[in-house]
Amino acid sequence: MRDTRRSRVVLSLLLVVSLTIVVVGLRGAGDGAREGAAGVFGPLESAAAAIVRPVSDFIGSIRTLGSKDEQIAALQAENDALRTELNTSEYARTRARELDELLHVAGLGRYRTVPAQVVATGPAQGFGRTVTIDAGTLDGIKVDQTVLSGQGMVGKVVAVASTTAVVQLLTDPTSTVGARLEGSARVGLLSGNGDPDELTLAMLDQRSSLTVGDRLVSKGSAGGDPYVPGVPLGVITSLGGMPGGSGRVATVQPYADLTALDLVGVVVEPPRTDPRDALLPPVPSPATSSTSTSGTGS
Amino acid sequence: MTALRGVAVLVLLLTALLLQLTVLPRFGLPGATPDLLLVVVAALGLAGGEVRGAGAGFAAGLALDLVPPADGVLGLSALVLTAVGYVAGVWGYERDRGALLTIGAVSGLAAAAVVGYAMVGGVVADPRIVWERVPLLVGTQALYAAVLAAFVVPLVGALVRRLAPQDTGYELGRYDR
Repeated sequence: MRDTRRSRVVLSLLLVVSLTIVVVGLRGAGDGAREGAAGVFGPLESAAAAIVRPVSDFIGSIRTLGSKDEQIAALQAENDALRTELNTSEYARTRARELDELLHVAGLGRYRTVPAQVVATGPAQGFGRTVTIDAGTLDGIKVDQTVLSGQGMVGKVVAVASTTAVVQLLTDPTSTVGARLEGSARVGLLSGNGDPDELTLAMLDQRSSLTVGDRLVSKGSAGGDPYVPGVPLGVITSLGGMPGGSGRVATVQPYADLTALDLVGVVVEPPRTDPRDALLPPVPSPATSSTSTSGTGS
Repeated sequence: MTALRGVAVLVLLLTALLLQLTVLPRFGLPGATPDLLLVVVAALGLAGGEVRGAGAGFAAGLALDLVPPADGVLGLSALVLTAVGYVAGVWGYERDRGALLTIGAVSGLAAAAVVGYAMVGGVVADPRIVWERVPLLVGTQALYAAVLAAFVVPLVGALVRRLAPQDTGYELGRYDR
């Protein structure tokens, strides 16, 4: 039997040290250590992510293997169109560059954003939902800034180091964001429930009637911290909760694909005025698929 | 030789940590993210005994708790992985357990670790713990760990043996036998 006294002493020692760290960390003493670790490991993660990018992309392509043939046909058509476009005049290129610059400044709905790449994702068995991005204080990132993707809200910055930052996704069980129903002033709280691509909406007004397919934008926090207003959040996919319970409850599918994030934007300057519903994708028609909710229509 | 082995183990743990954070989530597998770090810690315990297993688990867990995007309770992974490395060493070091049984044991440790995370998190009232998801996480983690263990345990074992062909009694516990 090797489970001897001395090895048990070592085990006890390590467990006691771990528990001490847990207790000390609970009182908020661990933030400095995490920031220090981020300074060392953040660049390592960025480098590792860059090295394994071909592998990651390959994995991503496997995940969408089903529709490869259609994709090839569509891409070939697109390629031809692009080739023609490429041959057009210098004027078009200059204009495109100007538009790009404008886009960077104005961004979606006049949010000024800093683009960033997701380099690491926290393990799901840790129950939280957080990712590392490769932009930090050097890029003007601060804690409590809104993070979005081309499709909608992603989350908020919860920790920042010089070249990396940690983003808490909307699906994190501790995440809550104020949501407003499209075209109305009715508001609710949208929270993570542990599911990787599902959110829970609780309306503040008990009498609010919800319908499957209703769309949500962010209500916006006071001063734009941590959530700026007008960012598309998601679509109601099913109604739940007890009728007569506290508020109306619904399940929401987020617009942004929070399970396969790549490029995101961190809002470093919110818009001067609330863009209201302007940023929601066009009302789904049978031709569009990404925002279609026809399968669950009411 | 022990210094070289120490460096090799650190490099091994760092590689496993980076792979777990950058590559494995990309697969988008249902439930848990495959816990490569835990399997490596268990393999080190199996190959080097409970003291080295616990030490490796502590170092790996602390790193996982500190490295971005860590956001939960600090020290939680250190606690769980220390126990994993220790139990793996006590159960399997210098015992002929057979490949299938070993894979099963690592898989069981991975499942127990998820429950451990949830329980310790529950004790310190971590708001992230969603108990409804624990069965799914336990089941998927056990499956992924079994697949990983089939490759990782023999490789780590070979690495440790290669770096220290004759064990010199450095193992603390062995003096007391």
